[in-house]
Amino acid sequence: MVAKHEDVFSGAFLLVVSVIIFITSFSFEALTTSLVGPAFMPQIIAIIMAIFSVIITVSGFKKSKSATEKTTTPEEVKEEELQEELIVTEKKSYKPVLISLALMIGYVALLSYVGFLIMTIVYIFLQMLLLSHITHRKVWLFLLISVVTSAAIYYLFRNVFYVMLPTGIIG
Amino acid sequence: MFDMLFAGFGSVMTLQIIMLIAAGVALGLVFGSIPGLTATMAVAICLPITYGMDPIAGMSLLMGLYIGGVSGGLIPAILLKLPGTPSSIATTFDGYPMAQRGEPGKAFNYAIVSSFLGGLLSIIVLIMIAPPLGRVALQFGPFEFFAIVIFSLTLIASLSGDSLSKGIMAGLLGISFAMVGAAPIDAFPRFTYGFTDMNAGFNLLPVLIGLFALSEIFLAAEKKVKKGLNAKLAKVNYRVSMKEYMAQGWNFLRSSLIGLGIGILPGIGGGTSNIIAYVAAKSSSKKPEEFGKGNPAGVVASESSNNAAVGGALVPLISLGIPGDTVTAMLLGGLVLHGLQPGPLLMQNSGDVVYGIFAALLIANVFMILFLFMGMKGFIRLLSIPQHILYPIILALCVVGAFGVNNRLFDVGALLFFGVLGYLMIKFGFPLTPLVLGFILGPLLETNLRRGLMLSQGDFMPFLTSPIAAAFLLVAAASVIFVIYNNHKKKKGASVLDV
Repeated sequence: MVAKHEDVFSGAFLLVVSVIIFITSFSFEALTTSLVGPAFMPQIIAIIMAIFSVIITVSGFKKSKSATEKTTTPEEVKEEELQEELIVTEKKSYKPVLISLALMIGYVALLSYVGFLIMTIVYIFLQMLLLSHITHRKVWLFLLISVVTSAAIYYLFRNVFYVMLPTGIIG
Repeated sequence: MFDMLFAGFGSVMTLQIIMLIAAGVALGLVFGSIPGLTATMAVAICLPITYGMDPIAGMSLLMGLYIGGVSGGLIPAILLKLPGTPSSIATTFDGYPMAQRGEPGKAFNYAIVSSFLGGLLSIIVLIMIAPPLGRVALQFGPFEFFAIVIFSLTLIASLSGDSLSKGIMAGLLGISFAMVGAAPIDAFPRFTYGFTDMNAGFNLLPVLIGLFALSEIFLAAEKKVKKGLNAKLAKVNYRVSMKEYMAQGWNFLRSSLIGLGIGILPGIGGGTSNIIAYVAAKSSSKKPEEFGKGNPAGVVASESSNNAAVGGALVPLISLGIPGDTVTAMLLGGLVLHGLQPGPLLMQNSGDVVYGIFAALLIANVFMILFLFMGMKGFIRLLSIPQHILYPIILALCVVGAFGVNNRLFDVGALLFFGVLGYLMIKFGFPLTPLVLGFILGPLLETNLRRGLMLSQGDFMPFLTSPIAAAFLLVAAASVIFVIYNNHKKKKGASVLDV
């Protein structure tokens, strides 16, 4: 799991978020004469959020203190059962998660310049390579699947359903 | 009335219209089953096609799409833990665990049969008592709506899982995200930080599929799953005995009525009804701890309520001309397109079309159960496609769906943002469903609060003195106290970590 201080971190972070919401809401101008303007709800929500983020932080401190005695939490036990079922071959690692995110960001960022068709082929192919285990990495199959599905999605949505997916450089 | 219904059946019993309904249901099921594509999109895409048809044929096609679109969401919900539509969020809670332990066939049987019966019940209610029900819904002003939304928000407590404060926090985050963009009533742009793209706020679709679908992909990336579950597929159990169905009778009826009731109220709709029905089933069960671990009752509750919401949402549309959600708004457009005047007089002036719509709904419901049962074995085979092939394709479809909402890339960016948020929330132990509930209900809460205060000229009292509002607020307060009391009792007991 992340760290034993996860609740402390998330609570503190959310406290900052609630303060930002509260401060931002002061710039909202009431365009009606009503007492309750556009700033009312955000302020109420920010205050409640602040209260609960403090509760989460404080109980997080208590938990990380008592966590030194315990070794496994029920969540971990549950996860282990699941892992047995799914035949996991590698240990958890956050690197592929970050690479996946980078792939997705690249995909979306280049979508309107390069076009949906090409970017989707590239993305699906690379993401398959990343998600698959080395023993299942059939490069030609992945290439075929990514080209066929991308072309099918592109044709179907552009020409049948008229969703104007970006054409990019081939347009 | 029955002769009118027979006349309605007479007018749709042509080969052309039956084919249209079947095609509508099939296309609706496809749209509903792909995360990112929804019933709303299916109807929006097909609306122009109906222009050349006569009114009954056109509306029949749209009804098929609506029924199919709401029902299709159960397929990915059970198989992949991805809600295909907001209507099947709660189906993932128990449907997916059932599929995981080798009972996808059973989960499908429960889900399909309850979808059918929930839809049937609500269509019958729609046919029998649409006008009086519509009038009741019209009695609900901002004070009553505010109270209902508050009541619905208290359900977050039951959805929170391990930590109540984290569940509430997730709900508050949902409300906050819904505040981005133009404020209700006066449209003042909030939390846009100078980006004009943010003025319209976040759309529900990217929020939902980002949180649920993208986060799953990130989780899969974490541990490189080698295989799916195909080893178990050989001995899939499809049979659900009559006795097992009967055991869900009361649960089914309660969930359908919840779906119907929530469907009638404009703006709340199927996305909320399945969660509320799930919570109701869980809290009235003798073994609430079995929920979330593959209890069929959870699947039944979710699927019967979301299909019952279809009939419910049509009540105000047919009887008053008021759309309750985006799909019915689209259907309203369909009526107008064919020169029909929606409103209280629709029944009188174009009774033939209205009863044609009723007949089309009943037929569409039958097609829905037929198609789902025929396709069931094929859907389950989806499980044998390795996740590393399936997930990248799903992401591409999510991008298409998010883009298709408004044809702009901002929604695709929002999809990624909520995907990362969903992943982090799972990692830090925050439940996702309260966020969605807060996101849907937050704007309703604020709109009705401010509308009510304008009506009462700044006086808060009518929120408490309106009898319907007061009743809902009392129930809300009671349920909060009940949850706190239960939590307290549990903490006193041996295990603190019990759900």
